[in-house]
Amino acid sequence: MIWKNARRRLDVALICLALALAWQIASWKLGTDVLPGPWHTLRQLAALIGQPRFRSDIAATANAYGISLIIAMAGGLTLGLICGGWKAVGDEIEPPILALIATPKVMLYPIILLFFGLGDAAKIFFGLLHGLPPVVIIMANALRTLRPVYRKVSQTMRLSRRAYARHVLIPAVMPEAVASFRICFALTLLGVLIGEMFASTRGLGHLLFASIGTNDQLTIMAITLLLFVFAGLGSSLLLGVRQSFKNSSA
Amino acid sequence: MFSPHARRLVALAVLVVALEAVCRAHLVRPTDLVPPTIMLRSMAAALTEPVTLYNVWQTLSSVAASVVIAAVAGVAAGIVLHALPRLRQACEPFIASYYALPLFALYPLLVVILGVGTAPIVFTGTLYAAMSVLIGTLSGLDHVPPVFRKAAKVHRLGPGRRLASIYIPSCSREILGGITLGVSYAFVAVIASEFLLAPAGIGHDIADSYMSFKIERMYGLMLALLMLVLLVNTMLRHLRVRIGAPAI
Repeated sequence: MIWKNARRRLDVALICLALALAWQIASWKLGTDVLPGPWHTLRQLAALIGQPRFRSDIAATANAYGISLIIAMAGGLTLGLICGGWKAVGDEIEPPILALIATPKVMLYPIILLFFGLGDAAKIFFGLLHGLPPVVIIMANALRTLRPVYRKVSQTMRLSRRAYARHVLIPAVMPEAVASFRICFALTLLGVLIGEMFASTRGLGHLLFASIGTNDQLTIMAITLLLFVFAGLGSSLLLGVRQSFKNSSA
Repeated sequence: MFSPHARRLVALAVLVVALEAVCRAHLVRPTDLVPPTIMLRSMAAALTEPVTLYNVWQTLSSVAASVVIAAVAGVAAGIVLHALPRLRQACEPFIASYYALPLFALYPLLVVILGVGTAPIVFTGTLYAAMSVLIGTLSGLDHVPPVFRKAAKVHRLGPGRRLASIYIPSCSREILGGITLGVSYAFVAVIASEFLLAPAGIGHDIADSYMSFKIERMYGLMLALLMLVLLVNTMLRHLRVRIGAPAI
């Protein structure tokens, strides 16, 4: 098992190395002004992290992202449980949520900007718009597709509602809940960044948008790298949590 | 009493009437929100202009091109990753975090590499759509029944024949499911890119209307885009249900 994990980590490291190499070759071919290489990007990232302004941008994004993520997860979980538990409610709520998932939400930015103005509320709302709907749909489906034998067994064993929820329902839906949180984690980040690009004067998304305006490729690449590493680590962590829940319920 | 469909229509009608009343009673500023009837009127007016029609065409053709390229690239990448399980396992963290990236932020870089025009937008759309096709292909190949693999062995088919005659047809539902999801992602990426910097497209038109304070036109175009996206997605959802494609 330890050997297997070590080999997997080595494989991931090799993929990172291969990607960095491909990036460097592309940079040499296109020119470092057009596509800065990985080393230049890392140096720029280190320089940016040393700047108080950049740290305050990271803090602004982290703050909005944290709030948005908590609301999206808690709200999505609650709505998902309601939709999955009561068919009539699910039939009414799920179609508009599915339509919202398929809608390019960026087009709503003028409306959100008009109502919320520039600031944290707009970007938190953008994060929610992206992160909440998948949690609702996945949780509702998880409840609906719960194996009937679980309920029968709990009835046979005369479990109370609380005991059923604690010992059967929650462990059974936990892998799906974590899977939905993983999607929520990624999409909320994307939503907050889009919100910052269009509806904020602070944060990494705003800095990205400003860098696009000034054609500052080095900063664009540095921020993208930072986001990729953050999203990759977070997703891997949640993937591991889901796997452990799956193993424990198997 | 009412079918769910009728109930939804009634709820939508109530919402529209309430919105109309709120706007007409001046409870919100006309610069913030316009009544639905004015949205419809400005949508109809905008859709008679050749510029708007050109922008709609530009957006739709970019989405279509993105999806076609993404379908080919996604299926090919899915086949390669499925054939190399160790590589697939190593790529999992990248696949999982892929959609968290605002890839359209690389649009200026793509303009320098691919030139001004639709190519950078199509490339961004392809980047977004290809991953769902890849995931669909992997999921499909994972569920090819063992008897099919045995049949391929018995008939001594080469790798190319196995893929073309057995594996791809047997997982076509999952691949089509991935492609239909890819259409939604391509729409998101294309419109986001158009919002950012593109010189044409319906996303650009909406952003331009907003910047130049043409609020009625902006809402009209948004309504047109919303209806277009919902129509396309409803058709794709029906297609997914019809072919029995699993949720990805």
